[in-house]
Amino acid sequence: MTWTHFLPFSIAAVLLWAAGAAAALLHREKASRASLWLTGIGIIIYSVFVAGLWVGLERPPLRTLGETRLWYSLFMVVSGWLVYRRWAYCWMPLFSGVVATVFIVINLLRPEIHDQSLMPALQSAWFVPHVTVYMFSYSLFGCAFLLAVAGLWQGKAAYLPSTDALVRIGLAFLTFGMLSGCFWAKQAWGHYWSWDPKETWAAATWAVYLAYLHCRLRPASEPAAHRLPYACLVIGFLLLQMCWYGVNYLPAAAESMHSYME
Amino acid sequence: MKARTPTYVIALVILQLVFGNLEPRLFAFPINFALLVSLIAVCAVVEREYGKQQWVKALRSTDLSVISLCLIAVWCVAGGCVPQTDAVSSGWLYRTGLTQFATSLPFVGLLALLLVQLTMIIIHRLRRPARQWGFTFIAAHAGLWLALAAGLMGSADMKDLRCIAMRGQETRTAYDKKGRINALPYAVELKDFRVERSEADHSVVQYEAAIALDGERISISVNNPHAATWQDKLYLVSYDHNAPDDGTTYCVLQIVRQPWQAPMCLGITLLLCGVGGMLLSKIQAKQ
Repeated sequence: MTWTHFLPFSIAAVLLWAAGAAAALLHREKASRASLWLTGIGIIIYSVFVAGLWVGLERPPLRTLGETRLWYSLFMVVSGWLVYRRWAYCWMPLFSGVVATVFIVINLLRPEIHDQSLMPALQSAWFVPHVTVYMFSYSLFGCAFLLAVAGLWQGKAAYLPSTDALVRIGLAFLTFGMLSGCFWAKQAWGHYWSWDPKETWAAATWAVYLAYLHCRLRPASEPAAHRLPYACLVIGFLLLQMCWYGVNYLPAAAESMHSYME
Repeated sequence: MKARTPTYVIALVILQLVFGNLEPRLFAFPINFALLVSLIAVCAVVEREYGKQQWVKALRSTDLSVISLCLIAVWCVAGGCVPQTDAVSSGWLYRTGLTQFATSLPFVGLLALLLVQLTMIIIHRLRRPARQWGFTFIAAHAGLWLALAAGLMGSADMKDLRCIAMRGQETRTAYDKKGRINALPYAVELKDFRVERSEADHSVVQYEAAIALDGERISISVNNPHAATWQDKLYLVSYDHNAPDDGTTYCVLQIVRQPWQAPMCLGITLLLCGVGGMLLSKIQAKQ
């Protein structure tokens, strides 16, 4: 499997996700089985491509930005599927599918050159867990972001229990990703934490989501008390985008030890 | 306490503009250790004697936690936008501390505030009966405390050196970032070097150096450092790229001296356990 096969697999997956989203919107009372099945089959097709690419490259496809976008779009739909199955928000398959499709389209418009080798710094057992766990946490925060936008738009706190669950799980995975990065950094670069630009933005992201969790522990005494937690989720999502790829466009990126990811 | 936080931050910014960045070496051992012990002792006394007062409750409140975390995020964003440099300058950006934001007074002050909060929170929790402690709560907060304390205080004792190991010649000399000579307690000599290339595109996938460390042969490669002493680790960072693959006459070693690495590692591990425990408890509660 190579990147030349990406287009047919992604078209098939996106069409199934679109069908699943339509089925969800048509059955608003509870989670539609048709939607779950259609989206699930799309996920399987997409996963087959990812697995095949892994075999074809003879290394985990986690090195370049394009390859992380691949995982993010997969995890985004998986997270959306899980959220829909758990809380039956009929619009979630649509929105998570759209986000995933955006990243698929970016990959199609900006094809990356994927050579077969991993540079010495990436030859580590921490490589796969560090990056995949981060991508999965980003997808959960993506779903939380969508719920936060919906909550702010509709002016209601009804989505907060769902965002609480997503952030608790997402923050656990984000923390694991960050701390596994610490152990790897010690092994590779000599320091658990060196305030590399990527680490700095990762710390900011982590702090904001941690602030959200603590914010939710406070008694909600005011009618508009839901705005602050939702705002945390929106800001946190923007920060994680900066941490993921935005940092590469900053002047500070020139010194980043994470720049081999490009 | 919430109302005093802006005052605290403004004071830190003013101090930064007047005095510039903090010099970590001012807090080298045993000063950093004494500071930590004092912090714990003072917080324990404050909790015991004034624990029911409003200002102490505010110090360990979730409100202040949210504020300090958000402020730390803000300063990280500001520092993350500015290229970091070790160079001293008279420019306004340098005076704000953003070009070396990790040692800037506002940032160190905010981390110190977080450390004080964590100390108060942990001590307050530990004063309860043991069955009310909550393993995940203690592990997460104590882990963060330990990692933060070791990082903040330990940076004063940390050294990052470079040493050029040559073939056929022992050396005990290493250099820091400013070019100052540091004597190593051991001799290093390059004995052998190997470069592994990808069959597909001939790019370098790994390189490995055989080093004589006081005569004892050790192997170092990328992601596989060697612990020379309890505080020193040797890393392989570079070699002569112009030489044939197995013919390099020197390699560059990085020596990281981090006496506080053990508490930092323990803190990170505890934090992982705490966060993992919170995730599992959420799943179990749902079931």
